[in-house]
Formats: sequence, C-alpha cells, structure tokens
Amino acid sequence: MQCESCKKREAAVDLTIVSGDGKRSLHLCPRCARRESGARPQAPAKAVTKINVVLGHLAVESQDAECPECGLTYERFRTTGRLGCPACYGAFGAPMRRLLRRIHGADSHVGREARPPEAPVADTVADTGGDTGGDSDRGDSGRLEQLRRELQQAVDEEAYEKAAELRDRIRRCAP
Amino acid sequence: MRAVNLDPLIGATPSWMGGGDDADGMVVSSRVRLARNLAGYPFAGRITAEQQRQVIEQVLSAARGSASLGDATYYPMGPLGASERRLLVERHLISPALADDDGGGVLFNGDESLSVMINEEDHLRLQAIHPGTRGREAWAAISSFDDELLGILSCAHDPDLGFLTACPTNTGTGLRISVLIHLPALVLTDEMERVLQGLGQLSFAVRGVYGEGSNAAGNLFQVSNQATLGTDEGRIVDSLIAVTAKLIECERDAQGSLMEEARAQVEDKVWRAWALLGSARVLSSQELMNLLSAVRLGRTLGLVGGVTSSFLNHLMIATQPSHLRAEAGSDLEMEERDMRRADLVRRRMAEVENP
Repeated sequence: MQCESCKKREAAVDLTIVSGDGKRSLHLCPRCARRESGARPQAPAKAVTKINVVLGHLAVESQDAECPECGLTYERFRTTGRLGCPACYGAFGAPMRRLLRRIHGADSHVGREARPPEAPVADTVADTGGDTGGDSDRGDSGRLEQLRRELQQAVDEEAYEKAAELRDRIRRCAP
Repeated sequence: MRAVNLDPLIGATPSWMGGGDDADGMVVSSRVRLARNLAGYPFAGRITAEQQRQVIEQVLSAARGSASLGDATYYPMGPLGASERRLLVERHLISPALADDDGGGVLFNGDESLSVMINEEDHLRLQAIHPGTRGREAWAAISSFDDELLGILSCAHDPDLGFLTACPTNTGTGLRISVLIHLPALVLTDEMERVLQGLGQLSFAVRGVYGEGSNAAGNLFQVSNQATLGTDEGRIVDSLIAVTAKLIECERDAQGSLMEEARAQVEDKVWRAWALLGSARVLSSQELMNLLSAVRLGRTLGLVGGVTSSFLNHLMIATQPSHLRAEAGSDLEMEERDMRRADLVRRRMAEVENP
C-alpha cells in the first residue's frame, strides 16, 4: 500500500492519531510516520494515545526485539502497551528510551532509590548524609543540572556517544 | 465460596471524606499513589497464578511488620462477589481493573487512608488519600510506608530509570498525585475547555470523575501529574499543589463574575437543588450528582450554611449503587434503587438544621 502522506513510498506503519476531534488512522511510510508523530503537539493527549503514536513509528526499527527474560516481543508490547518484566526495559533499548522521553519529557530518573533489603534504614540515612526522602532537592547541584541538560540535548540530537559519556559523568556526580 | 462481610464499611466514614482544608468545599480529596514491582517476578501480564500467590505472601508479610499497615485488613478478590468488589471501587479503595481479576487483593487500614492493591497492573499500588487539599500529608504518609516496604522488599529498580513499572507511563518515581476538585463556575461560564487545554500543556491530566471531558456529572474533576520520570517526588507533589491553587483561583474568579452577572439565577439554582434534595422521591445518580454540585457551590459562595463538605462527600458515596445495595441487603432494580437513593437523601437532609 502507498503512503497516504507522500503518496510515493510504500506504507509500513499504521499511525493512530487522537486529537480533540476524534481518532484517525493513517497508513504511512517510515519517514512520514516519523515526521507526523514527531510533529504532534504533546498535549493534552492521553498517555496511552501518546504511546500508540510513538510506538507506531518506533516499531519500524525494533519489530524483532524480544526480551530474553520473559520472551515478550516488541510487537506484542506495541499492541498491549504493557511490558512483560523489568528486563524488557533493557531489551527494547534505544526505542524504549525514546518512548520514555516522549511520554515524560525525560529519560533519566531523579528521586528515590530502592534500598537493598539487607541495608538497615539507619545506615542508609548515614550514607547519604541524612537524606533518604524524595521530597528534597538532593543531588541537584547546578553542575548536575547542567550535565543533565547537556545529556538531554545530546540525546535529542541522537549523539549517543556523547550522551553515554555525559551519563557516566552524571552517575559519578550523583549521590 | 465464602461470603465476605463488608457491612462494617457501610456504616464507617473514610477519613478522606472529612473535608478539612478544602478551600470552601472545592477540593474533595487529595490522593497519592506509588507503583512498585518486586524484583525477580514478571509483571502482571506474564505472571503465573503461583507467582501471584508468592507476591501476595511477600507483600502481606512485609506490610504486617510495618507501623503504617500493621493492623490493616486484607481482602483477596477471589471470595468477593461482583457487588462487593464494586463497593470497594466506589470507596476508591480498588480500581476497576483489580476488581476484574481474581488473583489480586487489597489491604487497607481502619480509616481507609492508606491502602495497597496487590497484583493490579503493578505488583503493588500504594495509595494514600487525605481530605481536601492535604496532598502533602498524603505524600508524607505514603512515603514513610514506602520506606518501610523498601527496607524489606526487593523492588525492581534501575539506577538510570528508577522504579520499573508494567506501563512506561509510570516509570521512574511511579508517583501519581491527584486532587478531586469541584469546578462548577468554570463549567457554567464555558471556561472549562480553555482550562483543560492549559493544564494539558503543563503536562497535567484532567478527567471528569463521573463522565468524560468538560461535561462531567457533578462538575467534579480529577487533576493529576502525567510525567513520572525526570522529576523527583517532592517537585511532582509541589507542582500539583501549585496547579491546584491556580485552579482554585480560576474557579473563584469565575464564581465572582457569575455572581456579578447572574446572582438571582445562581441563588435560584442553589435553592431549587436544596429543595429537590429534601423532597424528591426518585433520584437518578446523575441527577443527584448535579444537585449536590449546586448545593456545594452554594456552600462555597456562602449562600447555604448548615451542610458541611463532609456531609456532601458522604452522600455522594453512600448513594452509589453498591452502597445502596449493601444497605438494602439485596439486589435492587434500577427504579427501586433510584427510590432508595431519594429516600436516603431525604432522611439525611431532614437531619440538617435549617440553613
């Protein structure tokens, strides 16, 4: 089938767009799908809608990915919007990152950490300088913020080598 | 199958209905939830029944040892009938999704302010719900409970992505904070569309609580954060509290202009609603929601005294289908239910002193 947008290339993606005036489906080639979904305004779409839009265009590059832990395929994830197990996040790699960025405007966690079950609460408090809560500004020194901004930019520009380096630097700085 | 007795719930009033700090009745309640999954288990979509049992066992044993939920009651879904599950949904203790699955359960404390759904979309969904604008208190309650659990349970977490959840819309903090807010003047003045759009751009989700879009029955809306990744918990909580304050301000402005332009009509609407609540013999749930909305507006405007937000909140929950059914002790046809609803409302209104 022909792409409904450029009417030249072969359509490979079904893109569902939900907006104020209802839902429509487009059959697009990967290039137009990327442009269409990228150009969508971020709001006020429902989260699931966003996932569908984004998944539509990510599917092209990672259709074959499969989680080694639980066997969930990326294709299946596309249909249900639900991951199979914690390892799926790693298994679906870069497209997963992009999806998270699209949903949250960020792809790097800030906030509370899981404590290893053995660690007594008091020790952990001492280790992190008395700050175990998520309701404070911990770790957000200006430098860290700057690095995070740079990281975001690098990721946006798909400069992944630079992004990886920045991420490592952030990890070294972060508490 | 063992019949589970939920009767004690019917007579009890959950603490979140209390109405304190509610900006003159505009904010009904504030709710915070955290999504958590146990490490080493698949998420809900790929979990086996045996693994579900193990998850329940681990969570219950961790919760029993906690200060926050040590004396809580656990209700597995399996033995509960459809209307009992529905009753828990009406009380905001479980989601419709949990009610549809026999493999889960819910644990909650005496005043229903703190609860854990087990084996919903995520293995654990912790919820704290507090009256009025007390979102910060709800966050404090859930965060200390979370601390206790994280000290005992090993949760799926990635240094880079935070807490790993079944749906990528919850990844990171797993935190969703929401307020249930009454915005009648914004709806009446046709400003709601504009407000909804603005909130969407700020990454907040708004939905009608009873019905969809800007025509929600009872003019009640739930506003919540959309992003859970990249912003820490404290800031997410702060930003929702800030946006709530802004909404209250917009609603007050709209109420002001409404009173300026159509005082008589507004007063008429409020007092007609008052009279109907005290006299109607048949009330559909939709009609009741709209009447309660008018009286709530009257209360915010200082037109009617005598009723508290707590009174209105309680009526709103006690008149829902499964609550009426439980009170009646048998299944009800819709017509019968509408009559019983009107009866209950009339009885309660008779207890109110003349405004």
